[in-house]
Amino acid sequence: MIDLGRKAGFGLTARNRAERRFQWVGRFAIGISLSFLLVMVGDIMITASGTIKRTEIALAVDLGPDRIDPADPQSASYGGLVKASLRDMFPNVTKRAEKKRLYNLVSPEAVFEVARIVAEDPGLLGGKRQIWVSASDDLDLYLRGKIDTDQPQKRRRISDAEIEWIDALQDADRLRRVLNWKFLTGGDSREPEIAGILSALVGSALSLAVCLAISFPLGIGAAIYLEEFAPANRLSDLIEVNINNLAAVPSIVFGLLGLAIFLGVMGLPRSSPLVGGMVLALMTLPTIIIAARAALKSVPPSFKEAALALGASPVQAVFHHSVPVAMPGMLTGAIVGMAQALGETAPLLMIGMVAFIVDIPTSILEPATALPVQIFLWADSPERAFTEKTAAAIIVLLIFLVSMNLVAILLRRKLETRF
Amino acid sequence: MENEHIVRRFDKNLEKIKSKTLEMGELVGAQVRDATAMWINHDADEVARIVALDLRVNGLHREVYERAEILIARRQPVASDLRRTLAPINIAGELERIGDHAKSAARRAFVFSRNRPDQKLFDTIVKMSSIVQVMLSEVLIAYDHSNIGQAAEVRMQDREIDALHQAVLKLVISALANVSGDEELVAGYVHLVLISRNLERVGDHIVNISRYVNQIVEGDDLKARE
Amino acid sequence: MDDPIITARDVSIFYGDKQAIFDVDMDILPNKVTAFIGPSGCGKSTFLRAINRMNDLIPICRMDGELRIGGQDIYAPEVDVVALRVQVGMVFQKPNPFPKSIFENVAYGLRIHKLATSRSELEDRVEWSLKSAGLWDEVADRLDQSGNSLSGGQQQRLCIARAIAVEPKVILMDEPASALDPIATAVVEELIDNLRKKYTIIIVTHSMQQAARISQRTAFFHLGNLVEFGDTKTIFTNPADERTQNYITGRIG
Repeated sequence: MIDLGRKAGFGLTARNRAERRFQWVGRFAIGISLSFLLVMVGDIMITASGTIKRTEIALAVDLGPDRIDPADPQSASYGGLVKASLRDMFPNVTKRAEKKRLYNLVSPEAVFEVARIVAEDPGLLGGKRQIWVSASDDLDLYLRGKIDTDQPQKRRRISDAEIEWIDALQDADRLRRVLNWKFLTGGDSREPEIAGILSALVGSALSLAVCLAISFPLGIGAAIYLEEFAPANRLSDLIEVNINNLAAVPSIVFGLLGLAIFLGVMGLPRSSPLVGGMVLALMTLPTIIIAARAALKSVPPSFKEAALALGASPVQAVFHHSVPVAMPGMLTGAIVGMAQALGETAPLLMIGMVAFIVDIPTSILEPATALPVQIFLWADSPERAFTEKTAAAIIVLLIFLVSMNLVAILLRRKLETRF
Repeated sequence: MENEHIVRRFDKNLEKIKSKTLEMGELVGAQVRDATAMWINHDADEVARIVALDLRVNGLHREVYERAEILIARRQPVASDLRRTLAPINIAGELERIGDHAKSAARRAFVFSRNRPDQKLFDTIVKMSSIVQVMLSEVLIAYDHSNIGQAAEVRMQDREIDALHQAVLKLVISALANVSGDEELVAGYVHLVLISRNLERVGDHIVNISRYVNQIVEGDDLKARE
Repeated sequence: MDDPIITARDVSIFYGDKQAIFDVDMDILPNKVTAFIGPSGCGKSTFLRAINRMNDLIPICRMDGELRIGGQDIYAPEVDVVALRVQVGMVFQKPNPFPKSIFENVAYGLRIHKLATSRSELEDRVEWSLKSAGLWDEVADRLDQSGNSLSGGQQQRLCIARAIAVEPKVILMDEPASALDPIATAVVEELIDNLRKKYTIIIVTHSMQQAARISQRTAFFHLGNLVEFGDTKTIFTNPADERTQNYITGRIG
């Protein structure tokens, strides 16, 4: 009799149990990692949400001819103007210390903002005008309820008097919250309320461009030679082992190398994306070479064989057939290397890309910083508002990374040939 | 058979086997026809030529066999192709025996040059011969065109041959009762019977060929069924 | 009978220390299909690949003896392997069209050897090659499609078209039909039979039946030795050597 049921022997019950057990263990592991990811991204998003908007104060600035010379508006003391308008709003503030507190309601940047507005629109001159300027980070935090007012005055960043003023301003409709485009379009600043990410973003982009321009052709070329043409001997083995080892070398070592050679010996400009990109290229080369070789290995040898049998020279066979087929894989390797380079901080610290950079770099020779370094700097700053900036910068970094991968996937799709 | 093989050489090979078999059939048919002519006008040289034709017949027989052998070895024919390869070997075998009978009938022609026994008997034999010749050419056409209807008709005609042969036997037996004593005449009658027997056997071989034609087309063995 | 186009004298081939082919003498006649048969590992493919020096790609592979094509020693130092491979084309076991369009597949050899001086000449030669390979009617309206969009049998005929585009004298085929279904195989076999009017074809095949069907001359290899070489008819109806007899009747692997 043939029994095909569960009790047919062969240890079927135990085997089926083992099967299910493994599937559940796998699902559990994936669930755990997904929830970790969710918690991390969620926490960063919530923290970063504070940067989406910023607070502005409406100041009634006296732009009369007695304060600003219409012939030369830039010579006026805008600091005095801003202070005067604040004093006008709260005339009963007389003590020196209190005045200083009052002035702190607006960002130190407000002075420059007024100056810029006037310069752009000279028609404003000639009387009292309402001008919106950035509020200080503490005011912003208070408005969003991030400051615990139940605590004694000494232990918080904002005094009772200031709270009174802010409430008065709010009652007078002199406060508003606007989208914080400055974060994406501005450079770094000591003041969190106006600190922007663009300089770091541009610095990173320039460094990566240099890195890609150096490591991609070099890496692909090396991989093609090693995989397709290098004779199989001791030297090739040695090189292969060393490339594999280099991929595992801590990145700070490459930073030291860059410091010693690019800055020390070659005398290239310190803190520049050029040197940063070169150091990152050193670091990504092994990754690209290894990935490109793997991609070349996976090309069916039949293409090359067919080309050779047709009388193609080895270089023709490789470049006409193996390389195009391997290209998507090579690109993937390059993108993985680039992504690694994008997140790298240590080697950049070594070559001075840690500097405080306000201006947005316009060439690879100007001093610049990079996104991860910027994150590191902000995370290190004492002001509370920088915590939010840090989270926001991380999101910018992640978006940069995701869009890079997206480009890679699209390129792959486009290049991929089925065989 | 209507459809060509993808490999056209296969068709050419099969066609060649068939054409060689048909060529053999024509040669054998000529042998029968020429042997019959010898009964009327005996010519020793001509008899020798007819007998010598046997060499060519045997040569064709071997060629058909070898071609079939090579085709089987090289192309592994199956189904109808296999029957179209195997049947010619058998058909050629039957033809070869028809040739032998024609040869033997031609050799007996000298009997009639000395004395012609009985005109009626003689006419019957000639009639048998002409029927057999028609049957042979028809069975070859049936084979050429894979026409099983025509092949079946040929089998029906064989009954006439059998009946004529019986008639010849009867006539000879009654004639022999009257001529006992004339040794030469008796010998003439005996040879006549043998010729009739030759023609009867030729008819049987033609029937076998028609059965092979049927087998090529239908794939079943008529002899086993009957 | 014609003079042989390929002559092998005392050809021995080694992989490192292991000898794969032992002192083979062979005369291959032009415009005939010559089949190499024998059990796996008997050296038939190795010997085939020696004829267009594809063995050069294997660093440990070494050859002794003399191989001449049209009287010229193909292993002579002055012989350029590219020139040799233009004369001796090759078709592989697995259809391996390039991952390019049908047109580019056929045009590739013409392009690298600069055999067509103008676009129209290139198109003419591609068309001629595809017609010779019996593929033109099936692909004429989709030359720009990928070679991989074809069926297995069509791909193999595309590879044959690619090989004959540069008009070689000899075409080597390494089990060209082993990955194809019986109908596609028959189509390729019919093609091979037509091509021999213009080319000398040497085919390695695992299938003795295939060798019997398509070749005029058959060589039986066993353990690196050329056991028997002669007319296919004779080999398959009355082989001289007992090992051949045993192999073709299925008595030894």
